[in-house]
Amino acid sequence: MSKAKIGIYWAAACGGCDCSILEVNEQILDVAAGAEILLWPCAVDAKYEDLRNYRNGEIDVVLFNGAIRTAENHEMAELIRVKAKYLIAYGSCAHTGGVIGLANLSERDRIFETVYGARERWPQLESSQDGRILRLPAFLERLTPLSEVVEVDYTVPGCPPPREIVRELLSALLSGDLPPRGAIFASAKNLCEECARERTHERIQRILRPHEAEADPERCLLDQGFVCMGPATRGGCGAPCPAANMPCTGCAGPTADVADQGAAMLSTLASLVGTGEEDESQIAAEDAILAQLDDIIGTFYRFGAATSILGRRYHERSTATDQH
Amino acid sequence: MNDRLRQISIDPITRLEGHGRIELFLDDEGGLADAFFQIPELRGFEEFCRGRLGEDMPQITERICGVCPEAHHYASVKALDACYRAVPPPRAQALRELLYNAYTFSDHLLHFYYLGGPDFLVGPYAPPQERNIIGVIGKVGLELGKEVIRHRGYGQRMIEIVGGRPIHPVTGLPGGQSKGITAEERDEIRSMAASAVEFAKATLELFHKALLADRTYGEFISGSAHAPSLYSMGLVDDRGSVSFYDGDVRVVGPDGSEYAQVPAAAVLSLIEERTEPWTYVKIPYLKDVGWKGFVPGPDSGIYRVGPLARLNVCRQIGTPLAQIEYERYLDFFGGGPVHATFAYHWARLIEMLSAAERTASLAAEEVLMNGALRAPLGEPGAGVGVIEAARGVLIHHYDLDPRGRVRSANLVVATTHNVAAISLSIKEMAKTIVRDGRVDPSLLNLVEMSFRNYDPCLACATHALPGEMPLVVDVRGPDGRIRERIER
Repeated sequence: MSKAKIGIYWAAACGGCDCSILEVNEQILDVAAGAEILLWPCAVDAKYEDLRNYRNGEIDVVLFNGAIRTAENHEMAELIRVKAKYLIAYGSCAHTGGVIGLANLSERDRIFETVYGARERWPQLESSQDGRILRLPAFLERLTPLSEVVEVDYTVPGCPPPREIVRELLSALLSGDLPPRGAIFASAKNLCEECARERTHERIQRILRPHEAEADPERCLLDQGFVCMGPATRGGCGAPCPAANMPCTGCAGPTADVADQGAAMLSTLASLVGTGEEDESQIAAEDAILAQLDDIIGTFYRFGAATSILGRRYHERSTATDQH
Repeated sequence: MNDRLRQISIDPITRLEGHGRIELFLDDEGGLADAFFQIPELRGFEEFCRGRLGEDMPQITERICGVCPEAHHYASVKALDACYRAVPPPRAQALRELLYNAYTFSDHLLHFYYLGGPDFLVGPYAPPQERNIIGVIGKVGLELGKEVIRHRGYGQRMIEIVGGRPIHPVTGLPGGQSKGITAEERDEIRSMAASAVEFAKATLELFHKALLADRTYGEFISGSAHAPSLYSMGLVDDRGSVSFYDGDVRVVGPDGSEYAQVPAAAVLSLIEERTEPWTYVKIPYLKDVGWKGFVPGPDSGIYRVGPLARLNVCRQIGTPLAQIEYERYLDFFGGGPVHATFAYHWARLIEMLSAAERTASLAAEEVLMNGALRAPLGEPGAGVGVIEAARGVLIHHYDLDPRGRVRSANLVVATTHNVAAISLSIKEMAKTIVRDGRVDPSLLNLVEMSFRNYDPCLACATHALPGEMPLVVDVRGPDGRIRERIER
């Protein structure tokens, strides 16, 4: 069998996804032996010029991490789509927008004001230094996941994707034995299925934040009042965060049957707080518990603000406000 | 000569963290007119961190950089300690320092074998497709190659044991740590750390054999062509030793004399930053020295951070084996401060050995296994956390409201400090390779080597001191009701 030609690319990313590929340790030697790496800016000296010179479809598969934040990210996504037979959205940012999707809560101009101050200090798309023209890619109004700008063949969730999943993915790439197009490299079930903590299904009396109390190491974090995203989050990682006494933050995105991860989790939480009784004082007590949630967006949409329905509505509203 | 020939782009620059490109402009005589180091990316963390829960910041800000998430995680945790007026108990302190030194070891290893080192281990003029970790393994042999992979794995495994995950750890909380480690895990760490010390020594031997004895590297590290006289900034402990996890900020001038030594929280009073229309990154400089353009010297406020700078501000390293190597290093240059930009590689490996030694001695401490993991917290307020990221001084500064939510977050990030110096180094190198209006493409890698010395992290670099703008936003739940109003 001829060597598989692979590429690894980062758009708006932190580098954690690139590092996660090294987490497979010695398996990386199998990749070196069994594949030719045509593009990997973090580790290999191929330039955009080389990429442009490849024939369409010449790269068998590209692992694409990072979100689409700038016009350059968008252009590269389109170019790579043409050059790659298979395109894989790798990691949270490519999959759901990731943590940096929280930027969609703010208008572009507000972000620039916060970062650079007055408008005359802002970087320019084109500027002249003694007659020499320098260009910067545009910072797009909204951050989007990869699938919103090009067709994606496979998805690998996680921030970053966990070691065992990466091993599985690399084995599949090297053997050419890929699952059906559209497959998601993760569990179809939620995180709770693989969490070692014991569910006791107690009704939540109080929302606890991780710094406020030490969690019982054996019992379900949600049962204790900590907002753990496990029920609304895809498994596959083995639940290392709850094992470290910290709640799941939802990096792997929604489970197969759910469209909006945050809404699903809010609904789960409400059912753990609510008694179903219609007595007014009971309803007020339950509302008071939910009012202890001090950051809905950051808690329930930590990795999914760019793909949630909420995120978009919010964005439109914010634009409308600005026009007043 | 047409315009296309008069401008040369290196896009993207490679073997670093993040996006960058270099634009070289030639003059009418065919020499270098100017060089620009551009960073074409921005995330806006300073904006969207507002309104988040304080205790979520260690896990949010580590997404600035997945190569050095441990640095952001603990700069953030230390800022929260300060916000809550909490002093972590000795056990939590030891766990954090253990993880942090394991990270420094692992990150420096990554740079030498995967990112910057291939230029010399494989060779600056080697074909581009060989200048990488795979080429390094081809050159040093599979046996050593496997040791490289094994020890990077050890560093990551130690981080995973203490931090809960190998990338983007989760266990840091204001006032402590969310979990301890088991006796088996402690024993595993002890044996990995002992092996890491031996591996760091072997890496220094390789450095002497493959880099210091190499003619190209020897030329770059000696002489004045690549040794701009600049200020240096780094953390030192109360004895003046290199200190990765905590310490005072010390700045020395180009001649090595002390410019300032201040508590970490006061570092913001030392610097000021400017923006340029051609890059998304802001450029800091020493405020009282002032900005004189991209030039070196005692009157220019440009300073450096990271391994080279840390070894310029310290009085000693602080661990025995690394101290011996540090003295060899000083002997080689006839004493400090060292300005040779290519000496970053050597300084980095001295630190890698020191980090391994510290990891091993921390792993032997009984306090790791006994006592409280968390300290009581006070009322939330404002606080600063400072730490040495592998690439240099990293500062997180938060102001929390009475419910512990972030009102404002200032981040001053390692690579940002180095941006002006990197621009300077790139231009110095570019000057040497442009001849008669031509550049041999095989020489362009030399320009990239000049920034790789710094091990830049460009995703990190685009975060820095924000201004203050008024803003009110309503966060609505799925039912359309206002759940939260964020104001600032």
